[in-house]
Amino acid sequence: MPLIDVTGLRHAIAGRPVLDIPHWSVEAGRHCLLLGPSGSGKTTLIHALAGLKRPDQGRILLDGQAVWDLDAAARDHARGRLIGIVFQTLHLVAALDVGQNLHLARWLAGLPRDAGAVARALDRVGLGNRLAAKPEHLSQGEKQRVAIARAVVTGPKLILADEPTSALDDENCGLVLDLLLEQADGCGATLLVATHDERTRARISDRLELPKLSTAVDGHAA
Amino acid sequence: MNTLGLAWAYLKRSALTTALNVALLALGTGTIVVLILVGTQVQDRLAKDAAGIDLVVGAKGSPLQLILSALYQIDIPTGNIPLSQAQALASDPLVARAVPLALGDSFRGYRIVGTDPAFVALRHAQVAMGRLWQAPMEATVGAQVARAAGLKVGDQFNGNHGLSAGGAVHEGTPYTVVGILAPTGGVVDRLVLTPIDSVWAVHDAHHHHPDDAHEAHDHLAEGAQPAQQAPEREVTSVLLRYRSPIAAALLPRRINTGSAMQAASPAAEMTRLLSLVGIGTDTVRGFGLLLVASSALSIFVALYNATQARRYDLAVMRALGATRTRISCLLLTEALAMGAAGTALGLALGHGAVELAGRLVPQARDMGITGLQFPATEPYLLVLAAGLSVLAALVPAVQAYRTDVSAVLSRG
Repeated sequence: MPLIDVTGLRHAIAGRPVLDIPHWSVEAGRHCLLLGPSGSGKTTLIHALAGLKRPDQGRILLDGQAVWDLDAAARDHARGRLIGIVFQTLHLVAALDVGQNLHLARWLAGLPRDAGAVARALDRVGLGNRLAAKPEHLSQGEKQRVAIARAVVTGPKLILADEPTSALDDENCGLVLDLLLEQADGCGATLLVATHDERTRARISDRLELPKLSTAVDGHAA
Repeated sequence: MNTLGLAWAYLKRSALTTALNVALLALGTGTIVVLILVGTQVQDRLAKDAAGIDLVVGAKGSPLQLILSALYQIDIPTGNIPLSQAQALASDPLVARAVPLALGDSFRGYRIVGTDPAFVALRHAQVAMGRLWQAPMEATVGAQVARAAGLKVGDQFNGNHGLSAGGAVHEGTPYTVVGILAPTGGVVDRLVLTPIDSVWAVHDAHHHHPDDAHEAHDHLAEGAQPAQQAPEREVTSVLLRYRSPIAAALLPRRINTGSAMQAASPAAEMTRLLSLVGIGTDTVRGFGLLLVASSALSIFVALYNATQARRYDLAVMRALGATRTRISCLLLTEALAMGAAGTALGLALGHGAVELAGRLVPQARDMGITGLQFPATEPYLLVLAAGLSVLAALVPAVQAYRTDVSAVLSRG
């Protein structure tokens, strides 16, 4: 059973098609790149997979479960349990310290409180000593690592990373990709990286190339 | 991590706004608590002092003044009435009990009241030490008088002329303390009780001082008529208890129209007084409610701004697996936490302020005002604050509930 199984997926924004995927599947453990220019529907696909944006048509099976057949609360629970998300802009919760950000992820995923799991996740990204630091006191690189630790601390089956490297220089791009792959392997998760960053192509061989279906669509929203 | 912990983290992050909201709510509820506490205690006190007295009869004038002077001992009397008429009232078949009062002098600001021992029974007072007065110039003093003046059984003191402290001292006619009453929490605690004969004796003796500047005045009651040459004995007022309910219909009218005296009903006058004072307390209560409402508004604005500023945070939490309900609950929890903290602080402030006033302000102490009383209306304040908090959080919570997470995250 593939981890991701997409059939007949179509979506349009303001009447313009942004996604048209007749069939696509990802086996568990096969990390995959989601490639395409701005406006090719990468983020829309990521949000559709994560149960955040209902597609116009099509079926998405995640670990055998039809995501959009679930009711809203069950879909939220499934997302918390199955998926870890790394955003381009990281989105750490500023009111909480680093450790609490990780505890928050576990709590929202419906997992029991586990200080050991939080400490291990931070240790693995080399931030074992920054448990009590507030996000505003972290460097950009440290924030990136906390965001990755937060995505893996729930032990997800799928890690979705939306443009994780596009704001980084070559050196950091390599480091973040290494870290993402290492952390995904560490928790047995499959990594799906949506990017238009050419530098990532060499690291992951499986890929889905998304063509740009129409021209006048807001790149960010698509 | 749980909803409370998360709410606390956010409230702490905007500590200044949180503190302002809590302070506003605390001031509002505190004001209302003070009003409720003082209002109920004053009302209880007034009702207690009037208990068992159906009618007060005195000289013509303001009925409210008559009640205040004779029953509560706070205003000056309307004048005097002839003893013969007072005695006639006492033997009226409609009257169960009549207790005459003669006012005019005071001791350290506490009124000296010439009356029958029946007064003590009427006011449900009891002797704590010594006994009740019997002979002229014997006095049984209220608990507060004894405490304030350090009087013991056997002590002697002189009265002052007039009802307030600072009048001329009646030298040569000392009173002897024969008893001290147990505290009642009522007006009796502040009185010096003595036979009516004592009051007459003091003033008879007084009239024999040829050089006394006050000689021309009638000393029985401040502000009364000029002295009469061949004085008939007078009293200031009479407290009556009816024998039957029918007396209420007959007696006041008969006295008010058929004699030179007036009759006033404590219940009716107090209702009138409280409706007058009520305008003032209503204003303050309105002010308190205004504070509470403005704090609710402030909580609303704070949460509304917070949901705008935290749109990404809330969207990220949704992405991490939070249901819409959980996000709305977070905002409601923050509002309720502020509401609960503000109300709790307001209750503490209100009770504390009243208790402090009850200990430090002499008038409040006399009234037996305490902050350690918890009126039955107080739980409604908690309900009010909780309701307003939920109301304040409603719009932000619904907004957060409806947020299109995907759209917010895409823009981020």
